[in-house]
Amino acid sequence: MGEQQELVTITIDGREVSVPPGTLLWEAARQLDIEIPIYCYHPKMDPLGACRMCFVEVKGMPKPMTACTTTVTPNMVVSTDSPMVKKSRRGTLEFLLINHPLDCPICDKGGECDLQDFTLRHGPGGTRFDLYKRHYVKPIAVSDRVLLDRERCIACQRCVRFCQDVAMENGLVMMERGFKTEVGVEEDAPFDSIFSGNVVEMCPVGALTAKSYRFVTRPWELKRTASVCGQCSVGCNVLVDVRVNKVLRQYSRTNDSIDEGFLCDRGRWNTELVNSPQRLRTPLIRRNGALEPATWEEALQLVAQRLRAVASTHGASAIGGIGSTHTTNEEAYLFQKLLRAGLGTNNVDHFHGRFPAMERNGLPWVWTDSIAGLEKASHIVLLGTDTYNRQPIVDLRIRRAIRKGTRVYVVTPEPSRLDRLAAGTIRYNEGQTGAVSRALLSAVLSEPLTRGDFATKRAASVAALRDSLAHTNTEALAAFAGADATALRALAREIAQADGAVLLYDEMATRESTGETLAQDVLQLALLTDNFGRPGAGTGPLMEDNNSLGARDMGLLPDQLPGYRMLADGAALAQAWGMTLPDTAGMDYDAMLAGGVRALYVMGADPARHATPEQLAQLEALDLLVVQELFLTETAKRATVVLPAVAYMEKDGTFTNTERAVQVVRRAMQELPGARADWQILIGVANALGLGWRYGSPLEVLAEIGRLVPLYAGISRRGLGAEGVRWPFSAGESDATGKPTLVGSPHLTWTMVEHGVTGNGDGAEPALPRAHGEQG
Amino acid sequence: MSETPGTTPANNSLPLGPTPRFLTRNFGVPGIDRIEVYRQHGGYESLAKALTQFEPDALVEEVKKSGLRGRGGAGFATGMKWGFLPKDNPKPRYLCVNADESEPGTFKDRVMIMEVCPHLLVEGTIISSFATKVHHAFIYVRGELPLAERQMARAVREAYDAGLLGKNILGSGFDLDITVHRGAGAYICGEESALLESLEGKRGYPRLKPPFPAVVGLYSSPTVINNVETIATVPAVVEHGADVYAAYGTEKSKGTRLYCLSGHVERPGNYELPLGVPLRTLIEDYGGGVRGGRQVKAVVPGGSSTPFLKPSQLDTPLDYESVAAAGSMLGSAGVIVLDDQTCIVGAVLRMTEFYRDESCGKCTPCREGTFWLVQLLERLEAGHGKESDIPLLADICDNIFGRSFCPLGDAATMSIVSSIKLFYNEYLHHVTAHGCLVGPRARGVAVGAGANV
Amino acid sequence: MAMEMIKGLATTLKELGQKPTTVSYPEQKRELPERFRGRHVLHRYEGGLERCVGCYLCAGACPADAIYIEAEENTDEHCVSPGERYARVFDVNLLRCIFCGYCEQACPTGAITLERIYELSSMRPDDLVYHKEQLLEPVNSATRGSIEVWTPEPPTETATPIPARQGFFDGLEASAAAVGQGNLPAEQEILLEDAYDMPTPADATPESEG
Repeated sequence: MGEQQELVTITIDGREVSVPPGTLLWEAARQLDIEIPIYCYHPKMDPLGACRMCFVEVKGMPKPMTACTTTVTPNMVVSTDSPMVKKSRRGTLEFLLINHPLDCPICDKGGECDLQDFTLRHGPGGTRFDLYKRHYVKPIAVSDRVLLDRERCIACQRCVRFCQDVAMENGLVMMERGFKTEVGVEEDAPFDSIFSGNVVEMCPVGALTAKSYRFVTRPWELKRTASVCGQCSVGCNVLVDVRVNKVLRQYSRTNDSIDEGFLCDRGRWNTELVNSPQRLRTPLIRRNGALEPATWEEALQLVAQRLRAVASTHGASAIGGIGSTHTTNEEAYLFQKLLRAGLGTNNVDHFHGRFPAMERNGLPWVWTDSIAGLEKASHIVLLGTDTYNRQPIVDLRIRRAIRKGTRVYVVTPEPSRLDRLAAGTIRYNEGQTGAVSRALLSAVLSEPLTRGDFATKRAASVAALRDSLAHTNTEALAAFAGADATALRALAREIAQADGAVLLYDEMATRESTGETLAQDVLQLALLTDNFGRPGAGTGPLMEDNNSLGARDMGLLPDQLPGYRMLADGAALAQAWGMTLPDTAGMDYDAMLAGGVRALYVMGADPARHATPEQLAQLEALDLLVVQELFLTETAKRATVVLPAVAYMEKDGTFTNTERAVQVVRRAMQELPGARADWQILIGVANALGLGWRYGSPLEVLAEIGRLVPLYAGISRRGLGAEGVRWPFSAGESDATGKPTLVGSPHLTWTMVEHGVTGNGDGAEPALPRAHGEQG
Repeated sequence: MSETPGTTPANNSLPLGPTPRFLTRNFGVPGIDRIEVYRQHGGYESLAKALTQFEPDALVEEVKKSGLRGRGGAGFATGMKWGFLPKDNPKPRYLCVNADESEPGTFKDRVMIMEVCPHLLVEGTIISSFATKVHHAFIYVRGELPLAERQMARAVREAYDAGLLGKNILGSGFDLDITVHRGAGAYICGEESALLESLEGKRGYPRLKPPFPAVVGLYSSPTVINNVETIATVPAVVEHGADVYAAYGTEKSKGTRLYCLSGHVERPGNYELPLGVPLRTLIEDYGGGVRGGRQVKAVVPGGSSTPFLKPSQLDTPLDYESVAAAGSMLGSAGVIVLDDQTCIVGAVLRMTEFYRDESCGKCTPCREGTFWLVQLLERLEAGHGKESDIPLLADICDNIFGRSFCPLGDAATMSIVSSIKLFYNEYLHHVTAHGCLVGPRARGVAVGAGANV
Repeated sequence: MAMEMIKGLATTLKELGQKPTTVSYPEQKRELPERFRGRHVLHRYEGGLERCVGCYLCAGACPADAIYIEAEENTDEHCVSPGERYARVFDVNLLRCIFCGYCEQACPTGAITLERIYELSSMRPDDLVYHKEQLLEPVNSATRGSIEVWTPEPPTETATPIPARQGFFDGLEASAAAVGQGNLPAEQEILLEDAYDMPTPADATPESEG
């Protein structure tokens, strides 16, 4: 970009403001902190001009103009408080209120209602309407989750436009006309969208309310904490709304680079995690074959004593740790530090996709572009990933991209909700995502469709790769995967000719039988077709859980230290930690569960859930199984010691979402009595082991991460700000208040990946990215 | 069928006599709705003339020169409207004929053109499409006009069979398709952008303007939208030439109009008369005077969306400028005469009910305001109103006028504001005497009804 | 010295014949001022339905944070108050309460008033958190409470319903109409089906002149 647009200067209420041409008057006024009331307009949707609330007076215009539909023109003189404007606004509010019931005392919106607020600030003191209001039956359920009270509706069409234009799903529609206008649902098109909660939040009145939030509180009773949603790997920014230590809902906190102010229903209303009565409230110790309540002191001492016992009889390598994809970065860091520095083993892993460490320097496999970048892509290819259910807000951004003309290809085993909007769909047999992506790569190499500098500079490597794939051509692979080879070839051609293609695959697809080379193949596909390293082009996995990427970043890996350092480069870390670190790679997740260890420390994971019967038997045969959990999971039921932990709303920390954005999570409520945050438990265990950890808060852990992990160098909670920063980041200039800032990277280039990100590239001659140990 | 009786002072200087029949020439001819009969009476000759003797741009110039103005209500110059089409837009162009004639008191397009002489409209549509280089035209017929729609559909079918539509019309190389679409019955779809929405299959909500339909119209393409009468006048302009057409009417309002005379007159009906004919001439000479020899109480000159005229304004010439000067609008030339036995409050209530029911519900002032107005007027009409209701009515109208999204809201306030101004005492009588000046609960006049010729 | 004693005794003698200012509580009780504010009472309607709709406004207005409410939805089977919502939990912590009366001012339905109940003492602090059951008046003894002392008279004009025509709402109307204005039954058929037969105000309020 970089090109400076001529700004238009206009005068609003005697104050000048310069804005880019095409800006709406409402937006210009907002920059001056002048409130212009709006109902139908929503900054994320096209203007409609229906509610007639945002009147302003423009000099030279005989009638009042609507600020939400009028764009600025040079030297415009606007008044937002002239007698004409005031009368018009009062008139509109009076009109809106004649059929609006006086439900305020019992309405869930009361207290955060635009109609209340604007009536107070701009409305008439009373009404002259002394006749009969229109009445309807009180709330009707428009979906399983949303209720509609038609009396309260002011027909602003925000919800209808959200369903049609933003979510692009079946949903609410306008019905009838004139004063009988109402919002409703067509009989054959149920309102079952996962985005349905947004209409509740958008509704400027209490016409649409949430079933789960019905009558549970009033807004002024809420304690609202700015935090990050932990339900999936998108990391939408939220306000956690708590009353009397109960989370009632999460409310959107707009972050344009991630969620644009929208949330999915899971994030908005799924509060079971923290509110459930099934939560563990006391440590449990297995005595005589049964788990019995115990004190924290007892439990921590027992864990330490038994860990020491296993270490002394079987050696440190008989101890393993399975970390969590849900806990904060700080906790993940402490966990691997406990295992590595405290117990002396590299047997650290978590449940994750198969991302073999790359040759030489352990490059990360990440989404190299960002969510916001999706809108700039000309093509989006979804490989084996169901974004609608797994990363709904990414799905919503894809829908926005579709509206802008992006061609989306859904390559999945199962039909998905995006199929209807996609430019093309390709189906294949369950578990064959790897074969399909290799078929695409094979098509690119064989036709050949490679382009760009990257491929040209590595012509020899590309030729070698082509030869190595010669025996598995596209047709054979497609037949093996049960996919349509012609369609795959056509898709490969589209990718190779795209202005910018984003290729996304599901992290867990790499665990499928053919998934071993999936990550590598897709990365090569993107690199060789020059779809890499700029906004709207890139590739990467869509992670499974809220901190799946953070867990990797923090070194919950048997062969890599925090920040993807190879074990051999661990000297600095060892020095800082004040001890020698084991230099051989530890056992990975599967090896640990296959009976490789005698003692297993599980934090916030449930290996028993995915386990085979043999693995379950191994879990039960362990000398020691320590589990930190919120609930008595299948794994916890088999544990020797269960330590009750808390959910993300009850603790401080940072999460790293699927597109590398590190964001601050804040404690929104008191911990459940009897439970402790994972970082506190880890410190307790460490100190019971005599390690003498002195962390007072997650902030101190974050500071240590900032010192010792190159990838997160210089990180600070204040530097992350309200909206987070994408790694790799560097320190920016302090802002006006002296607050440190961090400058992130919206997208990664190959140079950054190879040399910059981990800070330990060796600058050798260019080669294709390749996993450890792979031949030829 | 319509005659033009009565006596108008002869003016021999006019080429076609004092009352030319540009539109109604063939009315009364049996079977004129069939293509054979229509062609026997000179039908489609203008089309042949237009295709052979004119370039499209020359045609636009000709229409500009004729001074033809939109007959739908706003009176915008037709030739100029055609000229607004962007020259370099790669998208296809469309012509939409607005046959959604729903204005109370207006019945010219339905009766005189679509039901009686549909081929006139087909011919006009082809010529207009040729002039504007359109290859697909739509005729949007109001939902409540099934006969008109059937007639139009048959006429279009006949025209296709005769080679007047489709590819290479009359060997000129000009292609045109016409689609006749029947709406679902909504007054708002007479508003041009709501018509386009409806035609696209969406709810009939008016669109945000700008962009105007000439730039972004049907399916986001440049679109011309004209009233039926406007389009049906084009063949006459071509046939007689712009100068002949422009010789009629007044300085700024040229040509003839179909006046729809209804209400309390002896001979209601459609009358084609030159613009500028005095209201009194229309009512007394053509309409046969007020029913039962009573007195005129008020006249609505252009459909129910226009303010009332008083009896003292009966000499107003019916052209756009003169009516505007008299404080009203010529609109769609639906002249409704109310006699002295009419309860004005009742008549206004009846009109306002129409707007309440036909409001699309998109914008607040129109949706809620008309609802309120009707309730207030009902109360007043029934004799239970308060004196403060009358200024309240006026103030509600003030809050609607100029604040609504499209002109429907403005239209709803016209009769109320003007009637309060002209007949305040009648409103007051409803409050103070709890009844009507002209009789117990006289529930208005059947506006626009029973006026079939 | 002696003078002082005589002075003092004189005062005693003077007061000897007077009526005592103290009362022998609890046998005798003192008369309370007109607007005395004591313990809260939650009121009912004549039919037995509770006035409280669980709107939290009293809790919001309370400067001492003495009121705790949890609201719930009325169902057809379990209808506690008119309209949609009622207070399932309504606790007043009288140890915190400062008897300012803001809660009754804030109440939109006249459900809570401070009555002349002042005998509030207990050996256990817990006892002084009054629950809804203790605060509610018994069924069939609905009053409006002390709020009547200062509530303005309802407007005399009753020909047409106007907003807030009464200090409280009478609870006879359901749902939206209940807390607000308008006295039509919910889902009015005529309005929905045939707008032309909508009743004029005169039809709906027969007591007005015809």
